[in-house]
Amino acid sequence: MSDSTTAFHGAPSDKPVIHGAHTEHEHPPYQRHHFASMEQQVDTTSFAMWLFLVTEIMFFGGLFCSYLIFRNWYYPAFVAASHQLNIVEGTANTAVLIASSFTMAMGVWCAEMRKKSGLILCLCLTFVLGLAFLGIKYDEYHEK
Amino acid sequence: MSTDTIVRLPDQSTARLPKVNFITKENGLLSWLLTSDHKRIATLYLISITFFFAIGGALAGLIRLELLTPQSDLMAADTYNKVFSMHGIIMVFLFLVPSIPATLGNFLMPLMIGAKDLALPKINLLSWYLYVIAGCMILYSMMTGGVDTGWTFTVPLSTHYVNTNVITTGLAIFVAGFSSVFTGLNFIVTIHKMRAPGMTWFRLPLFVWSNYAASILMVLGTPVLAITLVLVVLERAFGIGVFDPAKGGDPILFQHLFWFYSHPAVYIMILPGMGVISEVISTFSRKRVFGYTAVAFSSVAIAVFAFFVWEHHMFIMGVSNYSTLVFSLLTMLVAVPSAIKIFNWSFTLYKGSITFETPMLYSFGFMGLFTIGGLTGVFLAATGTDIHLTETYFIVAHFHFVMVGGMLMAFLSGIHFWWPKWTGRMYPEKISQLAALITFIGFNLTFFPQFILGMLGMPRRYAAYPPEFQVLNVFSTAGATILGIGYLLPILYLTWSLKYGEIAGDNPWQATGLEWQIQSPPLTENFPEIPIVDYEAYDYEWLERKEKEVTRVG
Repeated sequence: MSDSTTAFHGAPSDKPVIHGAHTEHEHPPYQRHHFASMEQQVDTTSFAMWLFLVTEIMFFGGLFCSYLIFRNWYYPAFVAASHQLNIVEGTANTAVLIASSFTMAMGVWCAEMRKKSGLILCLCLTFVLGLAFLGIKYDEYHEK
Repeated sequence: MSTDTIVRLPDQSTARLPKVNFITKENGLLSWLLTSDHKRIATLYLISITFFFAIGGALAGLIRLELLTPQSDLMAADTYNKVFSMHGIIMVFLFLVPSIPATLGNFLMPLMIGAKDLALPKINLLSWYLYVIAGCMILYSMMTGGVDTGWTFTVPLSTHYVNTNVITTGLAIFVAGFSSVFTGLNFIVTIHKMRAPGMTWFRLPLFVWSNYAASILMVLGTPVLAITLVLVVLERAFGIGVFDPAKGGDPILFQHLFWFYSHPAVYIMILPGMGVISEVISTFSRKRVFGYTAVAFSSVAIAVFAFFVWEHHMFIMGVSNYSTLVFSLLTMLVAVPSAIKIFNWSFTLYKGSITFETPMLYSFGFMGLFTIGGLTGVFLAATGTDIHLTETYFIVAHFHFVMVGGMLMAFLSGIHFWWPKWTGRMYPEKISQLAALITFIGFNLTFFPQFILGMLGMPRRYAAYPPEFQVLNVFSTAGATILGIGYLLPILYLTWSLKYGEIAGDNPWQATGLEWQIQSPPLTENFPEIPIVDYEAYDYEWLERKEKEVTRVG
């Protein structure tokens, strides 16, 4: 409860906290007008993102809850079905998925570091990996 | 009751609306459609919500007209099913859930905590667009045959048996759900991170607290509804079998998932209303809300309990007797924080200098009707009586007392209370007091007979009923007509007041909130400089001191 108030008090003298950002302006161009300081803006947006992830947990929580119930009820059927999985494609897809998360996270880091070419590279890689994911999925489901 | 009124307006012969305010700042349709100003988005919401309320209200009129006579004569039985389903869907998802948070909440939240805008202004606009898309989808589904599952989408009826627009409507509610998720998310982030210096949690107006509690429910509950409706749509379109007993699925699972959201949704609808009542009661009694902390925490308590009572919608659906026992007890516990609020408001009135302006009249209506609605909820929480009363008109009367008698009264109270701040002009006092009275009388005449009908055993959701129920149904329909006038009047005179209302000045009610210390209508950036809060909420002595200082200096 105190962090927002201190953010306000410290507003005029606060330097933007993002590394590599140019610090000579009090209000850098990427600071939105309704925030008192860059610190407050960063705090707020990351809090909002975490909260959004909570809603995602609730969203998929309903789905996973149903899945768990049915897995419990029809355990033999789920065992039988798991033998139908394509292990090679499944593994490849998991790797693709995790790699795309990594390239995206690298993209965010590049953006913060103002590395434009790195950012473009990372975004392109993420896009390609996304397409690869869909392609493998298509092949996998196509079989069934 | 020392004075008749606390209203203090500026001298009308010299008063002018501030030249620069959020309404006049920019012109043109695009400046509204692309705005990120929370006050403008609130205005957009107010217009669209009123539009859907009118449609939902017209459908309610059709329902009551059909029930005037025992036979199903005005419309065929399946048309009647569609009408009440659309009434429920529009009123719940397009009016009640967004009503106070998206209009008054949107408008007031930054003003009350001393911020320039909500934390995420563009997400706020996105949430309005999602609302409009959802509304258009529902209108489309209504015009292409409607939906007749009731607003509850009960499976397997919705997935296997009906031939109506379940998919379009389900997806519309999915979209509307994300609109309210974004509103809730925005509020929580704003309240945590955007408060002005000195605005500690326990200096927040109670309106902020109750909207905070409602936002928690929106953020945690609505996604579950969204995934449930996705499953219904998938079941209907592709037959995945999650809810289909023939494929080993379970229809009761749908009930669990649906009510896990839809019970908290009831509190999403009522909590912001309670916030309005706290503000209004305090202002028109000239007293700090009695037991501020208790009222604040009772909102949070309601939000917490809300997630542990859903099974009371399923007592007759063959769930375990032991879980019924637990859920029955938990449901009754909700009465405790609700009663805390009612008692604290009553104590606030005690020895206060009460005046009877329109918002106060609506608030009195709220307190009486919500108490009846809440107490009849305890009848339904007790399993013995619930088996007799559930799926009868008793249920219908119960939730209309809470939703219409409670929430709608609170909404109108709030709209009147903050109208001068929003538009800079007063509503006409006498006719609005009359409208409040008409609403109260019409409401009781409409819904009180339905308690008796339910006790006598008249089931809900049928177009026809045995002739011996007719007298009470005629009362109810007559009441609905009066109620209709009660709702039409504010729409008319509030529109009238936009041009002809008296100039309100900054603080016509002599209220203490931060929103009343700035010009009306406010500037686009709300506060010329960020305020520093050095007084408690509802501190009327602070206000008096402040005004004396101003006059002395001036």
